[in-house]
Amino acid sequence: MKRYYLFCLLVLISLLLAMGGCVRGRSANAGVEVFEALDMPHDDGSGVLLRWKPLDKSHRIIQYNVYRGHSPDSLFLLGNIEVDPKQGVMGEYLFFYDRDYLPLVQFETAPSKLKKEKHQAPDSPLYQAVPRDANVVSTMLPHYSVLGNLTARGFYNGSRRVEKDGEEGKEVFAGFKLNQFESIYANPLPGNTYYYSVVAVTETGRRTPAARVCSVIPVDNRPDSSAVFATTYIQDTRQFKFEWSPPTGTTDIGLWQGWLMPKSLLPLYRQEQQKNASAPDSVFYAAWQNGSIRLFEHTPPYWSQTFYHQVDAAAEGINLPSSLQDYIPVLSFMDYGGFQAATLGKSAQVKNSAELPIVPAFQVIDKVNDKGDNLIVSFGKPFAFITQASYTSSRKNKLRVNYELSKNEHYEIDRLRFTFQDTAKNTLGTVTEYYLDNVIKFKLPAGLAKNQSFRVRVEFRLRGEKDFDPQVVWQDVTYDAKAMRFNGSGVTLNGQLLNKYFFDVFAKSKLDSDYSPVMRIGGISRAFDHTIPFEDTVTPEIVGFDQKTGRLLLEPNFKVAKDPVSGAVLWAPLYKQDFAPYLTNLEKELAELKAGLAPDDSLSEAAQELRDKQAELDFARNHPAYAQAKDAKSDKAWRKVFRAEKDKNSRSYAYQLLMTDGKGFWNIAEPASGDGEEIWNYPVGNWFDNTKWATLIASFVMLALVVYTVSISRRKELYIRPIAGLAELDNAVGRATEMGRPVMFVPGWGTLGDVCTISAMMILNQIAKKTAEYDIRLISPHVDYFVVPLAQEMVQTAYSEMGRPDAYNQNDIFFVSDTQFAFCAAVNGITVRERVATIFYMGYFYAEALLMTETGNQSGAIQIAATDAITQIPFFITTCDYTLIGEEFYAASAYLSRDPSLVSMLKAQDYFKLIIVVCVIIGVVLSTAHVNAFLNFLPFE
Amino acid sequence: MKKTIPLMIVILGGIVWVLWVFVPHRLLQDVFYYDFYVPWIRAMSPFGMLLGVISLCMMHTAKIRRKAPKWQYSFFFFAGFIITALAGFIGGTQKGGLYMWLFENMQMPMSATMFALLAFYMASAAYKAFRARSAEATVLLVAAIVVMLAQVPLGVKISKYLPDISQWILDVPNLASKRGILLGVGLGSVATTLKILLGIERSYLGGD
Repeated sequence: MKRYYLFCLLVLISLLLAMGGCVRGRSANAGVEVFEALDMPHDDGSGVLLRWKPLDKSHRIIQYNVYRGHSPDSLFLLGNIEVDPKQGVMGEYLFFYDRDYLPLVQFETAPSKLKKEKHQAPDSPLYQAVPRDANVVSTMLPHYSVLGNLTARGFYNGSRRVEKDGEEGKEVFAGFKLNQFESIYANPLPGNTYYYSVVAVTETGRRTPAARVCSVIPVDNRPDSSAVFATTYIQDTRQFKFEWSPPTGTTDIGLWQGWLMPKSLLPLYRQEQQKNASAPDSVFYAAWQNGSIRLFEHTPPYWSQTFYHQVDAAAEGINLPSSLQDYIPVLSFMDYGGFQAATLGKSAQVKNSAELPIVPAFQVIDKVNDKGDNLIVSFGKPFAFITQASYTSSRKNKLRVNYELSKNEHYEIDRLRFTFQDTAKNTLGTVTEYYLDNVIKFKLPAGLAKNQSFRVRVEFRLRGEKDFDPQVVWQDVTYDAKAMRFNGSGVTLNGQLLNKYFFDVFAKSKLDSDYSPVMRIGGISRAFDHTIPFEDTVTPEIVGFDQKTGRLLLEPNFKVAKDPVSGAVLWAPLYKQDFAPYLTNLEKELAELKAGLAPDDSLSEAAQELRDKQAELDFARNHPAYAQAKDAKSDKAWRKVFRAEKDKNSRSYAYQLLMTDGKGFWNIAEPASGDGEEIWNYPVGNWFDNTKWATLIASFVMLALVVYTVSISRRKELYIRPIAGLAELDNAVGRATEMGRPVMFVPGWGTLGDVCTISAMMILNQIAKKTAEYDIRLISPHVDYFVVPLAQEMVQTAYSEMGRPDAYNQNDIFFVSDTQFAFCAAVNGITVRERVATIFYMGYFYAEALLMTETGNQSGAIQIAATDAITQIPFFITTCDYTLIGEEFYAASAYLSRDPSLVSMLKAQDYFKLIIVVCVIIGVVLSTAHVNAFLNFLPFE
Repeated sequence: MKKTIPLMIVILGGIVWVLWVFVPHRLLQDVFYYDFYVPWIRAMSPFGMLLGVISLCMMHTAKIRRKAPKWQYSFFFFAGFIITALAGFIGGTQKGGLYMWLFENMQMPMSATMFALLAFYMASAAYKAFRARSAEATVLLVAAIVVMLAQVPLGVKISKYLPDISQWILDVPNLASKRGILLGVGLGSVATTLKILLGIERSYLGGD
C-alpha cells in the first residue's frame, strides 16, 4: 500500500510542476514604459489622473496594478484595472482616477505586515497593499484626507476616550483599534506631493517591472465651463426663473452669478473665454460683465446635479432692457479657491404666469409594510395611460390595448373607462375596465380605415367614490408602420402635457439648513419612494493616532439637533464628562466676547459671533435631550438618549415638489399645512405586513384543520389512497436483496432550510429501516455538506431501531460535490460501478435529473423518483419506474409510517384543497360580476 | 430531555421564521436576519464544508483500503483534491493562477461535456415518452409535435394556426396542470412545516 501512496505522491508532484510550467507562459520582462501622473483638471485639488500606454496583447496582461505613496521610497498598491488578456486594450491610453476616496486598507485582502511587491527588483519602492498595521496607517494620516468606516454600534459604543496635549490644552478624542473599522479610505490633499507607478500583471500572475515612479502635486483648478444654463422670463410678474446643471467634474462651486449680457458683447465674451482657457487659473477675463446686467448672486448650502433660482426683477430693483431678444443669459461661478469660470446660457424663453406648470397637490405618507426606512411622496391622483396597441385579428377590427397605471399610495383606482375617438372626434366605443390587468380589448366599429390613428380619453374612478373623477387623461394613439402597432403618445392631464415635464423632489431633514433636490423623475410619475436609511454605519474623518494606546483617533462629537430659528447646532460628546467643560468653555468665550464689545455694537463680526455663541449655549442648555441625558448614570445611557434624538432629527424630513420642463420653466409647491409651518415626516416601522392577512388567515385555517383531523384520527383509521411508488418500495428493496446489490438514495439540491430536503430525509429514514431489515447496503451521495450529518444520523438511528447497528456504515452516506455536474458524474459512476439494484431520487433536481435517471434506466435499476421540481417531472416520469409528483412527495413519510398524527396532516391538506376550490369558484363568480374586493384581498407574488 | 430540548429549539426557530415572514419590522428583517442569522451561517459554512470533505476522504480511503471495485479511481479524487487545494492555497484563486487555470481548462470543459450529453439523453427520453402505446401517450405525442413544430419557422409554413395552438396548449392545459402541482407542492410544504412546528413529525431528530 505504501508503494502506491509513494507512487501517487510522485505523480502528483510531477503533475503540479508540469502544470505550473504550462501556465507560466511567456516571460514578463517588459513593463509599462509611458506613464504619467497629472493633476486632475477643473477639480478642487483632491484628484490625480494617471495615464499610461498599455502593453500589447501579446503580453497577455490581465490587469494593471496602480501604486501610490507620499514618498518616493514606499508606494502601496492602490487599485487595479482589469483588462482582457486576449483582446488587449483598444485605446491608446489607459486612465486611472485617484479621487473620491479610494480604499486605503482593504481588510479582507490586506497583508498583516509590510510586504514587498512580487517579482520586483530588490530596491523597488513597491509594496503590496497597505497592511493591517495601525503604525503603518498612522504614518499616512498627515499626508491624506482619511475616512474610517465603522458600524454605528462600533462607533457609539466601541471607543476609548483618549486625551492628548493640543495647542489649546488637553484635547479629547475617541480612540479605535484598526480592526474596529470596516474599511478605511484616503484621498490626496491639495498641495501635497504624491508618487505613483503602475505594474502590469500577466495571465500567469507574473508582475512586470514597475513603470517609472512619477510625482504629482494636485492643486485646486479653475472650474470647467461646461455648465448648462437655462432661463425663463415670466413677463407678467417680471420674474426670472433659472435652472442649471453644474460643470462636469466639479463639486466645489461656492458662488453662482446670473447675468444678462447684450448680444453685442458676444465677440468679447468668446474672446475672453479663449483667453481664460490658456490663462493661469487665478486669472479670469470677464470684461463682458461691465456691460451686462447682474440678475442674481446665489450661494446654495447644498450640492446638486441641478440648481434652481428665482429673481423678482421688480422687487430687486433690476432695470430690465426693453427687448430681452438682444440679451443672452450667462452664468458665472466661483469655487471655494476663488477660481472663476463662465458659461453661456440658452436664450431666455418668455412665458406668462398662467402657463406655469401646475404642480399637483402632494402628500407625504409613511410607507406601510416596511421596516421604517421609507417615506412616500404621493403627487396628485393616479391615472392610466396607453402604452401600445395592436390588432388581434387579420381583419384588423379588434385591438389589444396595453395600458400602464401611474399609481400612488394615497389613492387607489377602482375602475377605468376608456373612450375611443377617431381623429374627427367621433366616439368609436367605450371600454370599462374593472380588473386592472394592464390590458383591454376593443372591437373597432365597421367601416373604420385600417391603421387609422385615434384618440383615447381615460377616466378613472377612485376606490370609495361613486363617480368617475373629473380629471381625465387624453392621449393620441398613432400607428407605427415599421413596428406594425399603435403607440400611445403624449399624456395630457388637465390640459397639461405631462411627458415634457419632470418632477424634482426637494427634501430637508431637521439637521439640514435648506431643501435640496433628492430625485428627478418623469412628469407621468405620481409617487416617489424616498429611502431614509437607518444609521448602520458612520464614516468620520480619522484625525490622528495615539502611539500609547495604538488607536486611531476620531472627533468624539456627533451632531444631534439644529435650531431651525438661529441655526445653532447641538453636538453631543461620546463621553458624558466632556459636556460640562464644553458648556463652561462656551460661557467663558461669551464673557470674553461681551467684555470686548462696545455696548451699542450689534453689526460687527464680534457681535454676530456673540449672538451665535449665545444661541448655541441656549440651545444646548435648554434642549430636552440634554435635560434627559444629564441624569444618565453611564456614558452608554448618555449616548442612548442623544442617539435617539439624533435618529429622530436626521430621519425626519420635509418636502417640496418642483415641476419643470428642464429649460428653466418651473414651479414649486410645498405640502399643504394649516399654520404655514413645515410638515415633518418620520418613517415608522410596521409590526405586521398588511398584504399578508390572507396568508395569516389561511395558515390559521390550516392549523385548525390539522387539530380537527388529529382528533378524528384518534377515533378512527383514516383512508389514504394508494400511491404506487410508495406501495412498491418494499418490492424495490426486496429486489435489491434478492440480487444482492445495494440500494441508492439520491437527495436533491435542497439545503437544510428547504422543506423538500426535510421531506427527503423523512423518506430516507423509512428506506433505511427497510434496508436494515433486509440487510442490504444503502448508499447515499450528497450535494450539501450540511445535510450529510443529518442523513448519517437518521440512517444510523433507523439501523439501531431495527436492531442492526452493526450493519450501518457511515462511509456509505457521504458528501460528493456541490458542483452540479460533478455530483451528477459521481452518481452515474456509482450507479454503474456498484451495480445498484434500486435507486431513489427524492428532492429538488435540476438538469442533472435526466442524466442520472437515464443512466440508472440503462443499468437496469428500479428507479423511484419524488420531486416538487415541475420542470423535471416529465423526465422522471419518462425514465423512472414510479414517480411521486408534488404533494405525493410530502405525503410519503405519512404513507410509509402510517402514523395517525402524520396521516391526519394529509386529511387536513385535502380539506384545505376543498376550501381552495370553493374560493376559486367564489372568485370566478365575483370577478365575473365585476366585484374585485375578494381578488384584491388575496396576496400576489 | 434528549429530544425535548432539540424539539424546543426547532419550534422556537420555526416560530421566529414564521414571524420573519409576517413582520416587516427592522428588528426581524435587519437585526435578526443580517446581524444574527447571516453571520452565523457564514461562521458555520466552513465547518460544514470540512465535515463534507472529511466524509468524502473517509469514503475514498475506505475504498482504497478495502480494494473495493474500481478502487483505483479513488486516487483520482485525492489527486484532484490535493492539486486544486494546493493550487488555491499557494497560488491564490485569482485569474491567472493555477487554480483558475484548472477551473477554466479542466472543470469547465468537463461540466460542459456533461451538460452537452443532456441533449442525447433528452432525445432518448423523448423517444421513450413519445411511443404511442396508449391513448394518453398519443395525446402527449401530438401535443409535443405541435409545440415543437411551432418553435421553428417550418411550423408556420405548415399551418399559420400552429403557433396559436401551441400557445394554447402551453397556456391552458399545461399551465393548469402546472398550477395544480404547484398548489399541491405549496400545501405539502406548509403541512410539512406545520408537522415540524407542532412536533408531530420528529423523525429528523433521529427516530420516531
